[in-house]
Amino acid sequence: MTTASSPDDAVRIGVDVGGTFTDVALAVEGRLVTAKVPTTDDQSEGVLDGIRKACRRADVEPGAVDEFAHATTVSVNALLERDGARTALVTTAGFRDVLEIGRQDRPALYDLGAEKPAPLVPRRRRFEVDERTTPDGVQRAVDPDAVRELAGEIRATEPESVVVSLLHAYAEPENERIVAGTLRESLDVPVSASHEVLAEFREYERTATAAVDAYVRPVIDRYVGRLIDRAADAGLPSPWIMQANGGIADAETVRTRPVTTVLSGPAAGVVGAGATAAGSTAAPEARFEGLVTFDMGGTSSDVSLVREGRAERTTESEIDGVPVRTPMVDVTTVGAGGGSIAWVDAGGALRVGPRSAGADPGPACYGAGGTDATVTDANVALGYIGPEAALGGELEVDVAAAREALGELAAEAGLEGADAAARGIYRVANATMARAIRSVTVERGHDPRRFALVAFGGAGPMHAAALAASMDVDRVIVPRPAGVLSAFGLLAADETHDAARTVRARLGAGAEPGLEETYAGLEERALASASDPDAATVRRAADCRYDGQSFELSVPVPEPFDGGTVRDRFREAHESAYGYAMDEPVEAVTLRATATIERTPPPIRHAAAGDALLDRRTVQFPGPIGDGDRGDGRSVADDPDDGDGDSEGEPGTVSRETPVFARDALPVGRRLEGPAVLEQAESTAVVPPGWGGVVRDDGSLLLERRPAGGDSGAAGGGSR
Amino acid sequence: MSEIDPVTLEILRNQLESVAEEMGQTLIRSAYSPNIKERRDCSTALFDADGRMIAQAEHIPVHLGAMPEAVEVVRERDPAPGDVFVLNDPFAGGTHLPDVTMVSPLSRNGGSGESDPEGGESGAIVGYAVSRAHHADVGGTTPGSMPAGAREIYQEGLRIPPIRLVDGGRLREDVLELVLANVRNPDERRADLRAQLAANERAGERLSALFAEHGSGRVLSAFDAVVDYSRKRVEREIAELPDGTYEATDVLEGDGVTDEDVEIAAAVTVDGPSLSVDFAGTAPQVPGNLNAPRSVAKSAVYFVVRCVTDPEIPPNHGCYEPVSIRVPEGTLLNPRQPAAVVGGNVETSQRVTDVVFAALSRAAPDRVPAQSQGTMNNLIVGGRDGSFTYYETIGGGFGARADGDGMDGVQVGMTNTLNTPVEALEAAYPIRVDRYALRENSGGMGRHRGGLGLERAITVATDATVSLLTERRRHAPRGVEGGSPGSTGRNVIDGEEVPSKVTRDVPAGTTITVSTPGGGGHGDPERRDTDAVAADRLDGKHDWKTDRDD
Repeated sequence: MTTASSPDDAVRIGVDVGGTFTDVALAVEGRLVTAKVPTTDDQSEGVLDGIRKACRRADVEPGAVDEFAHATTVSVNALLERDGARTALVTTAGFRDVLEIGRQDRPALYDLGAEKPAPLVPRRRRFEVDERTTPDGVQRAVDPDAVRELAGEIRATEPESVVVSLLHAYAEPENERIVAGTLRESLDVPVSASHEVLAEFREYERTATAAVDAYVRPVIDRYVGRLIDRAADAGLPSPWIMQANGGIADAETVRTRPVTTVLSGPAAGVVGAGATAAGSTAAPEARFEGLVTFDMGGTSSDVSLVREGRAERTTESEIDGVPVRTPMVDVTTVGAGGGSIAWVDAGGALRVGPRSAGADPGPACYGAGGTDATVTDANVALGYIGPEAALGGELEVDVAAAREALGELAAEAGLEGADAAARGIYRVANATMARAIRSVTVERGHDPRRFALVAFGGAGPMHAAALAASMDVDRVIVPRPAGVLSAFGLLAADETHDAARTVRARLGAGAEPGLEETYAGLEERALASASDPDAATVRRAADCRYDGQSFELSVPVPEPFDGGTVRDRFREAHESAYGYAMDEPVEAVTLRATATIERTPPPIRHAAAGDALLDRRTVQFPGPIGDGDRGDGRSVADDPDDGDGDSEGEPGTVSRETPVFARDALPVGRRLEGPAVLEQAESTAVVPPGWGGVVRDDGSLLLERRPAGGDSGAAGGGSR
Repeated sequence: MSEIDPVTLEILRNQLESVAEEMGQTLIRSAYSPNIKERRDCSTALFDADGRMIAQAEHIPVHLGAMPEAVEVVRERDPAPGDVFVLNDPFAGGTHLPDVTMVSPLSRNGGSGESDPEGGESGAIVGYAVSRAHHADVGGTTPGSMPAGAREIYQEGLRIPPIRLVDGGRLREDVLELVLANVRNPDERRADLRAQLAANERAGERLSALFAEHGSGRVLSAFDAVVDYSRKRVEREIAELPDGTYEATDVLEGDGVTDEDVEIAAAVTVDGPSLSVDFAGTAPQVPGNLNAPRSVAKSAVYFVVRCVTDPEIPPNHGCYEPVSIRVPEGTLLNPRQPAAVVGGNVETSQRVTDVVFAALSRAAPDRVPAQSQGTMNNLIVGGRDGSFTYYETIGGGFGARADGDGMDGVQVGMTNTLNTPVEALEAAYPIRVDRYALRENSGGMGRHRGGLGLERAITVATDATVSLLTERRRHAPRGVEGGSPGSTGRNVIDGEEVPSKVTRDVPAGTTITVSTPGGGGHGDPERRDTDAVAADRLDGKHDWKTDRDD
């Protein structure tokens, strides 16, 4: 087996499957070639279609590909559509309903019609075994004969997969091991044991996470098997599979621990964003505290944070109401994307989303029968998406259909015509997303103004600058493969394996032989999955808390373990996250080891080709607030209450004759002043008035807001 | 007066709500105690200069009606920007003592009132930031400040009338010291109080940024616009209900001192777009601690209104403008001081909710489910040696709905807090959980089945004192439209059934089993889908035997 630590001259291919399209990025000899093909029912077919298309474009034989990395939605789809394996659960007597009760909260406070999501394993296939472990160890041993008898009952329910989760198995897995081992001998289906999936306390979350693993296991196993066969037929190497933790793993590892593949596509996008921001000599990261990544797709947008070059991770994820507590890149989804439908609600406010026009019929401008005005239709009317642009691959833009849908919305909302509706949609979508981004950053203790925004996805770079301005963020980075960034991220993702275990130990001042031993075991487990253990580095961390608290902060841990250092680091982390630290005793709750084999992002050198200036057209740039008056006939500018004079400069809507550039034809170092529109195959970037930009080495764009209100000549400047 | 265009309305609504949201995040992030940080037993809100709530980040429904009263009492005390008032007095803007509220008058330049370049008018109050959090202890006779046997408020903890904790921008250390001298774990309290101050400060910063960005004229008219927006939407939905007066009564099963039923009566009048609730006929205040200050009844009514209207309508003053409430003084729901009140928040509030729902179900039978378990099943276990206190509330059956079964084993009504994981509990306390399961056959039968109750059995490993504060042990959650009632709950200590409210000293090895009520059924059981009956039997959730006599 090859390792993931590839030399710079390796030919690498990344394939990310989305709901509608399968994206491909191919790096060869400093060039980056991308492709987009329709996603197929059996995703492996589309994956191979995409690879062949990209290889043709790059003039590379599939057999010459050195590394093939892949992100699939097979497991998350099985989970969302409740279409996974017929699964049985075995648990401690008295507790078979834990999976269904959950934390006994209901999903919505005020909605009397709310439903709890159905448990992955119905009560009829939840079995109890007589045994008991407590934090002090095994209190009642399990009887293997009883388990063999139980196996007969389980077999009668014809399960395709089994999960075993016994109380306190995170601390003492003896009974769980016996039950899982006996069932593996007696039954002809895979068995997931909770302490192997997630050796952490809180029985509901561990059981639910292990149940997800069992539920998607046969599905992923079959899929990866098919993909390996197809890849071999085409002369490709065996695929690396993306995990939600932000790293790749080899196919066999993922087949036995598939829970890690849930939500891996968005994680790849965040890795791609981080790699782009770091991957240029013109990188201005020193000026930021970190990056906010903003991926605006068809139905929703994904937001996450990158700090110190690393995607922020969480162990608190929930998917469709099911907790999945393995480490994941921390991605928050907000309900506005290009296909989001605009509507007027019962109180007369203009709203955007969460309903989406989807891919079929899609936005009105697809000309495929859609009549609802969407964000994409607004972007057509504003002039961001040109009449010649290729939408979602092959479609032509139907400007008239877009304007008609916007006109109808305008009439309903009492706005003056299609243009006003378009500006309104653009602003409201931005306001909704700004609120979500503020919430994500503030909740984690950061000030968004100290971050740069990395915008990607088909629609992200159209909204990014206006969105950034509304949050007082001055810098935006638009990666070159903005339309296929998750595929690009697959070329750069490290190989990563996590292991963790709950210990709950009060920290002393010095060495802790017991914890040192636990870490040794965790490292062994993390390295066991690594393709080349000798090439791997291992990081240790501990989730700590003040004694008596019920939430933890993760801090790095030195080797050998030193309680005093960990305690100090925890206090620092507490100070930085919450603004204060206390002199209370500290407890290490869960120990973590992460094995990483680093990969460097493929060296991409942007080479411009073709004519840069494509066109000039009239483009509208909406200001931050609606066009309407406050009803008293006064504009904000002459508001007598407003003595500060700031509102003088409040930009209303500006309509400008705007150059349209072919982004791929802009050379490295080229400076731009807004307004400008930059088109490329899968994405369009907008530089509004008041913003300028530069093309960086790798072809990514750095956009910067010019200081407002300065004299012309003194402020901004730059070449035009 | 507030003719803002639909785009500006939506943008400013988002921005104002984001101020309240950010306050909540600041509070949760910088608080120390799990009760605020993990259970999120706190709320934050932004009010305008007239004391109207503009935006709320809500976590806890019982705070809904109480926050405006807190602003009201502060407005009577000559507040100025730069002040921060603190209060918890249930008879002056509070609900029960553990809920501590901070109210900050704000100027357009933030909270400080200083450094106003223009002087004069812009130092005026433009709004109030309010944060409320449940503190783990505010003194009194028992740790946790929820003493079961209290007969007057003085036993329940430190009572704080609305006073300035910050006066003209200066923290009054003497006031803080007084508060901290009267509570257990003063360091934790200091951190939590500081978190509330930080939340209010954040509101001041964000609001002044909005004033700077949009100009005060536009922000102030946005205040009007968002209130009008919610009011219009709520009024439209109330107007859809048939006019008339709808009455209902229900009872609490004793006040902890006696076992007598205590009646709660409500008459709900729908008159066009407005709705009023009169609690005349409700029993006089009781000697025990189930009295509930007026704001609890208000919260319960607001909660019900939010449930029967579109839950997506942004919660602000506009939602409650069409709603009026009358509660006669000296009753269970508007007691005179020095009544003990700490149980009013947890159990009385649930019953008020039931009564108002029952009355409204006569106006809108399709919108209101059959009755849910109607109790929080409060279980408190304390070590006799004082070494630990374990407090838990237990979920139960949700009432069946017109279009589906009730949820099994969930928190209902005005609470939605999480359980304590067995693996956390057993590591922290000398307690073993023997069983935590759905309670079979406990949901009321009907075309749609009531949700199942839960069964939680624990065994103590040391001598302990067990307190149960529960309801619906005699009077079952009712079914509607021909549905049968859910099962009543049961409390059992070592095989012996005990009353709904009890405090017992028990020896090590004692098992306490709490079986919580099921939800009522909805519609004729004969009309139940046969597949649904088969599924219930296969899953062992309900056997659908009609001759059941338990």
